[in-house]
Amino acid sequence: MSEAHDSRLSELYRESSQETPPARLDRAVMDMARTSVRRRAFSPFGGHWLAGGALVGVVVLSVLLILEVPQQPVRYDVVPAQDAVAPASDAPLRSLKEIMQPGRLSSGVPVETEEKREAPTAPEPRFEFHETLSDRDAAVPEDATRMRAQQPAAAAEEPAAVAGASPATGHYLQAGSFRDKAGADALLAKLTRLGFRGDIQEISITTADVYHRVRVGPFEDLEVLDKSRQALAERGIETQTLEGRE
Amino acid sequence: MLRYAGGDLDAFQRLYEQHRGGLYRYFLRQTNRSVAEELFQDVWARVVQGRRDYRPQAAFRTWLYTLARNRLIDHWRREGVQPGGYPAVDDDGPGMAAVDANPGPQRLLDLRDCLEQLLQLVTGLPDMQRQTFLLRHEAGMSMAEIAEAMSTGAETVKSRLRYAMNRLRAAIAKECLEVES
Repeated sequence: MSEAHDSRLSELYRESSQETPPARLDRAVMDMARTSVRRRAFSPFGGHWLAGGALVGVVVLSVLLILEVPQQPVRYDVVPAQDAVAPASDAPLRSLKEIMQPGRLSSGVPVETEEKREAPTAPEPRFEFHETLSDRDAAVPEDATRMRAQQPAAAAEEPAAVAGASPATGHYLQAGSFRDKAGADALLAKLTRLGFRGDIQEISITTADVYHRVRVGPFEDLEVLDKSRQALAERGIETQTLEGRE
Repeated sequence: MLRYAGGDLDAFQRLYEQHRGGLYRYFLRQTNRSVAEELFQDVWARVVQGRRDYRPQAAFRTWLYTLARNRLIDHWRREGVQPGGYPAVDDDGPGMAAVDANPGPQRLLDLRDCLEQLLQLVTGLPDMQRQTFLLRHEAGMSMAEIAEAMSTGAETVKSRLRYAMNRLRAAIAKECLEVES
């Protein structure tokens, strides 16, 4: 009799005991597991090696940077910031078309006349890679050349997202990376309001782990990229350069 | 678990889905809700952190509930709480039912009353009996697995479970055992 009662008790207990953890606990646990897997994926040799490797990397990059720094500062005329485009009291605002001249953006030499625009005086090339980039610029069609420019006014004129429409080459500035799409959308919207154009790139670290990388660009001209980075930093958005051509 | 130890997140998710309910209720029967949530999350954090130390000699379930039990004991010790309000000595004895929950014959019991009463009675079991009962009913562990998780012998586990069932049976309203659900 007691055995029958015991199984009845067990049955009753199973019926009564139905609580499950709340969804936020599920999320918290899965986040922990995900973070752990990712952290290990990035540091196959463990934390100490990673720290050591990072230090070596910083030293090597610093040396390279010192070697690559030009002797004299290069003068840029185009500042892709809204403030810079604001009308100054002593000088009339140049037309948008003039500001947007690709020649100006690449060479950094102000163009005053039509003749000069036809034959811009190229500055003494300092680095081979700049030359290479300029050459590549020349091959980019007019539309694409305009898109690379980060002029706030120009960006406001055109649709913000250039994903898919952008040329497959060029450097980007990464403004952020988000697991949730909404965060990425919000940052892209902010960038658009500030007059920058960019897109969201989906990065899969594992099949279950997708990141949304918010990029500004693409940039054909590293000088323009650099100016944009400064302009973004002034607005409190730190970025890092995404190298390579994808 | 070995697959998760190798970085397979889907494997972890399957393990988690399989054990989330049982582990949560294991804590819920022995603490209050907020403590249960905290301990639950803590144990999974230990699983995540310790995945590289996991050895397949032990079933994952046994390992999980060993972590859970240690965490619970640790919590009680830190809070200075006597588990279940029962003295640790005399814990394995048959004991007396804490309350005589049998209502008068006039009262008509429905199933809901029975379920509620049973949960209270389980919570009120002496510590070792309650843990044994929960490992059996929430974790679904065998006697051998419970013995391993509780670092004791299989015979002890059997006695504890028998005492727990006797206690519950004696305390619960007679009608609850008669009614067919």
